[in-house]
This record gives sequence, C-alpha cells and structure tokens, in this order.
Amino acid sequence: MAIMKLSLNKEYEIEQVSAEKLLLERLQELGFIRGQKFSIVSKSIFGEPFVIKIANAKVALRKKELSSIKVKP
Amino acid sequence: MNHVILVGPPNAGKTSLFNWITGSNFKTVNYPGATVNYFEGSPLSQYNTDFKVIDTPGVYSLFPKSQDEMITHNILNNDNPNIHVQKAIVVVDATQFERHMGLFEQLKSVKIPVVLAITMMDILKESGQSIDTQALSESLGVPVVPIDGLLGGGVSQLMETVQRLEIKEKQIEALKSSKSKKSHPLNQLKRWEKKDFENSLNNLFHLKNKTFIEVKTRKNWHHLKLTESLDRVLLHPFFGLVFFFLVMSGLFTSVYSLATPLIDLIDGWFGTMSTWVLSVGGGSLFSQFLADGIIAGFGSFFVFIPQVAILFLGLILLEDTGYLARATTLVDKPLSKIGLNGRSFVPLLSGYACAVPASMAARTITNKRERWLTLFALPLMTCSARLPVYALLFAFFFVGQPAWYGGVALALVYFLSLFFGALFALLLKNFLPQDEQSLFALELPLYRRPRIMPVLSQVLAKTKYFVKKAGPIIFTLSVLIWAGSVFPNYDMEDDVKRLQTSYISQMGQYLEPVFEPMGVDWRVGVGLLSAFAAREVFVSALAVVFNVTEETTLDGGDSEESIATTLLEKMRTAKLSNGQLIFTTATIIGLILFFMIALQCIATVGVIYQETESVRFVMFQLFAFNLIAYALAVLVQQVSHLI
Repeated sequence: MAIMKLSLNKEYEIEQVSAEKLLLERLQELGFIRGQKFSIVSKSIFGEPFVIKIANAKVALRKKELSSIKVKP
Repeated sequence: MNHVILVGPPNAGKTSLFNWITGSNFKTVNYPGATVNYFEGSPLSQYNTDFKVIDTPGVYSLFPKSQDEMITHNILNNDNPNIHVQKAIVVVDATQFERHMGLFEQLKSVKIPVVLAITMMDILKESGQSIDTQALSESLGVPVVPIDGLLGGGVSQLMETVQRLEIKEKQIEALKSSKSKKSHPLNQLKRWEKKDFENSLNNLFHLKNKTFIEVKTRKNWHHLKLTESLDRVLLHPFFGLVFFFLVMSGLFTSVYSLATPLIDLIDGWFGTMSTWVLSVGGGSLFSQFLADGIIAGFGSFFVFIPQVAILFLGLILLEDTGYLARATTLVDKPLSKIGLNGRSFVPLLSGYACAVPASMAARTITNKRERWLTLFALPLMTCSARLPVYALLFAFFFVGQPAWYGGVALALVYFLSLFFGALFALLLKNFLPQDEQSLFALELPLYRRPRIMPVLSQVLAKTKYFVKKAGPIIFTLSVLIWAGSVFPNYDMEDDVKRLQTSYISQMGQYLEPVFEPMGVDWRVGVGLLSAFAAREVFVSALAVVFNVTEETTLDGGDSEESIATTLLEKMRTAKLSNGQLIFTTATIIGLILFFMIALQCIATVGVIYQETESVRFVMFQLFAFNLIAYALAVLVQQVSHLI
C-alpha cells in the first residue's frame, strides 16, 4: 500500500523497506524492519517531516524517507 | 593503560552512566585529525579497577553515517595510538531494548569482550514490565548488568563485572592484529549484509517474545504518557510553531540578561587589574605591556566566556529535555529549501554564541554539501563579539531615545543575519556538488528532566574548546595590536602623538584610500583592522584612536559608560580631512552591514578549515565575505551621496 495514503494515528505493519544503502541502514537501525508495527502521529506545519511512533520510540521522517516503507494492506 | 569503551545508541543513558562511573573525574580529549572530542576518565577508586573508560558519541550501528559516529568507529578501530580498547560496555535502553540490540549483535561479531549494561530499568518497571537479565545473559553468552537510570544503582556491579571479564585467546589475537587494517575485526563487519542486520533484529524480537521481557501488566508508563501529551502540543502544526518562537526568544533574552552582569564583572576585574599594574609600574613601558597588552589581551576573550557558556547551557538543557530534537524536526523543511538540513539548526543557533565551538555541532550532518553550507552560513550569525560593536553603533542612532529602540534594532539585525545566512547558503548551493543522499531520519527522545552533571560537563567542554581554539588567537592579535599602537616611538611623552606616529596608524593612513569609499578615515580603518583580533576590539581601538582616555572623559571618570559616552561625543564631531562629518547615518548603516557580513574572526577561519579540510573553501569564504561586506558598506555610502 502506498505510504502517502496512510492516515494519522492508525497502526500499520511494515512489509518491506526499500531504499538506497544509507537510508535503508539508518531506517533499520531506527527499528523499521519487516513485521514491525508503527503509526504516524503528526505532521509538521510545513508538510513534512512526519512523526512516527515505532515500538516505544518516536522518529521524525521526511516524506521521501517514509515513502520507502511499504506496509501490509 | 587499557581502555574500556562505552558504546550505545544516542539517548541510551551512556553519558549518565559515564558520570556515575567516573564521578566528575574526566577530561575531554581531542581526537587527533578531527576536532571531535570524546571523554576519558578513570572509574572512582572505590571500584578498584585498572582501566580507563571512554565515552563515545552515540551510534545506532557500527556503520558510521556522520563524522561524530565515525569517531566511535575509529576508537573501536584503535586508530589512536594513545587508546587501546580491550573491552566494551554496550549500553542499551531497557524501554528500547528491541531496537538497541542490533548494535550489540554487531559488536559481538567483532569479537571484542562485551558487557551489556541495560539502563532505564526503573522506567521499564513503571510499565509493569521487567527484563530477566539472568536468562538474557545465559542466552547471549555475555554478562548483563541492569542499571537504575535514576539512582545509578548497579554501577559497582558493572565495574566488578568488567574488571573480571576475561579476554579469550582469540580475542587477544584479534585485538593485536588491529594494527594491520585488513585483519582487524571491524573489517569483518563488511560481510554484514542488510539481510544479516534485519535477521539479527528479527531473531532478537523472537528471543524477546520468548522469555526475557516479562510483561505483568501492559500499561502506558508515566514517561511515555507525559511525552505523548507534551507532543500533542509541541508537535502541533500551529501551537508547536508558536511554542518554538517562544522558546527561542526566551532563550536569547535570558542569555543576555544573565550574561550582562557577568560580562561587566569580568570587564571590571580586568580594568582594575590593569590600572593597578600601571600604577605599580609607574607607567613604564613594561607595565604598559603588562596592563594594556597582556592583561587587556586576556580580558578581550575572557569577556566572551559568560555569554558563550550561558547560551550553550541553554542549548544543552533544551537538548537534554528532548525538545531540541523537536525543534530540529520543525525547521527541517524550511532549512532544506536552502540546501541545509534540520540538523543545521543546532550549529546555526550555537553560532549566536560563538562560531568556533558551533562549527563542531555541524558534525552530526550526514550529507557533505549540507554540512559545508551550514559551515558557510555559520559565521554570519550574530555572535557575541559583534554585540559591543552594535551597541556602540546603535547608541549613535538612539541617544536619548527609549531603551527599546536599541532592542528592536538588535532584533532586526538578528533576523537580517538569518536572512543573509539563508541567502548565502542559497547562492552557494548550486556550486557545490550534491553527490550524497540527504538524510534526516531523526529519533525524538522521550521528554525528561535534564541531568545536571552531564549538562554541566558538556557546557564545560564546549567553553573549554572556545577558550583553547579562540583564546590564543584573540590574545596574540590583541597584544600585536597593542604593540602596533605603541611602537616605534614608545618613549614619546604625548600619547596622542605616539599613537599618530605608531605603526598601526601608519598602516591605517597608508590604507586610507581603501577605507575612503566607505566614508571613513584612517582612524576608523585602524578600528576595522583591529577587529581582526576579535570584532569587539573595534570599540576599544576606536576609543584609542579618538584619544578617549581617563583624563579626557567628559566627567573625568574612567567607567565604561563615561568612556562610551565620550567616545560617542567625539565620534559625533569627528570630521574627514575635507571637513565633512565621518559618522553620518549612511556610514553607521554601512558599518553595521560590514560587521554583519565580514569574516574577521581568524579563529573561526581556522576551525572551519579543520572541519572541511579544504583550503579552497575557507579562502573562498574569507574573501567572499569580506569583499561583499566592503562592497555593501561602500554602496550605502555612495548611494547616500547621490540622494
């Protein structure tokens, strides 16, 4: 499912992360791996970054960074 | 001495742990070849250990993505001949256990002896969960020590465990061979593929679900609840922005109200000291050298310490509460429009104290172009050395007016400096190649009360860095300028004549044609040249060339104010050789613009060179800034003649 259609405060499960090496590694380090659940908490007044809640942590991601994550429908 | 390295993700409580281990007995060490600091300290004697502990910048993995993460990597790599890492303490946050264990897995594959320290156990307990450290230790095959995040319980057990930790034969060999890069254990990591990373984490998730984390009752704990409710406001699209501006203006007003009395105090001390030395020495050349050269030279950078330290205190407090990460997120979009990154925010903000330690903060920016653009715009921020200059120039405009006029003017200059910063970054943006990906992905830590010791130690480190880097340069140039204003006719009775025939005046007069288009004469030129020691020296240099001495102040006093008032009076009537007034509105505006842009601070130039290691970049910056500053001042002056 395309990430931009996701709605706020709804829980999603990660199906796959596909990005260039640098971003992919950082996303994995931050906990974005297959099977992990996350939700989008808020969005900046300027449209991005998004604030994501994942496990017990919060991570801010740009639109491009978030869109490299594919979620289960 | 053997070293034990503390490794852990950002915000895992590494620095708190380091403070508990060492008391406050640690020092900052400059990593050779880089401007980066790390902390080295000996554990408190009660722990009976025979090693030193190193605190490193936080990393999520052993694949460094920015310069500060590189430091941790290099230390582990035994790159520094003074460090011999034998063991590692991996620090993970109990509440982030699953995510943080990836780093542990990587370190284990490096084959360095490891102890796992789990912090924030108290917070986990709040949520009705706990980690079975015994079972975890058996499963991982390494000792696991829980640390109470609030009271520091478990530190002595940790030290005992590390001391007892045996280094296996294989590990010794691996560590010994560390000098030959190829066989170094860290290089084995190259075989780690992205799948391994994901698999290792996946395994951990399964492990976790099996036994280690016992869930008694699953409830949202206090810290998370607090963070959730605070973020509803602070990350709110509208109120978040309002709060951001409130925090920033609060930060700046409190910095100035706190720093001003301290600056006056320090200024007073140095003034008293040099008067005393002069009177004891009977005005001999040597006593003048001590008083006006050495003591005044020290004074000229000591006066910056309060403001630099207090702004850093404010910044680090904000960082420690967790707010700064939110502010960084908020400004990411606008900053990325001009080629910067949200992470440029902290260095730019620090630039309002002093560009020298602020340059260090740019190391967290992954992307080279974004880092360079940040370093390019940084010297344009209104640093503390510019304030005395603006105060003098504003006073010229607003004498007899309500005090808030000056305040508004200063605020205007602050915003204008942001504008120039943005403009300059935007202009250079297209000339720097963008060959790396831009990365933001920032973790927002839970809000918490700032911890005093780690905050103070960071303020101390940053202030020390300022004193060490900027101090010697400001001091040397101040002494040189003093000498230039006294020699060659140092034995002349008449102070004014002595100055007028001095080297510095000769140089000013020689260069007068350069200053003329700005609408100023050689005297202001001398002031501008002196400002290369530190911008604020402009004020004291003007006082010297306009012959404002204790005897000549209007009310006969030697206080700061009476010198400033007298200087203003003299400036008001100062004329060019053609009889025109020097300090017209156009001249003052030109000078303000000049000081906003000119890159006069040699210490900044030096540090930016260290950070970029590019002579071309620094030379370009130096010439471009000074030429643009000069051209603007000339432009204002010439346009005023046309009107």
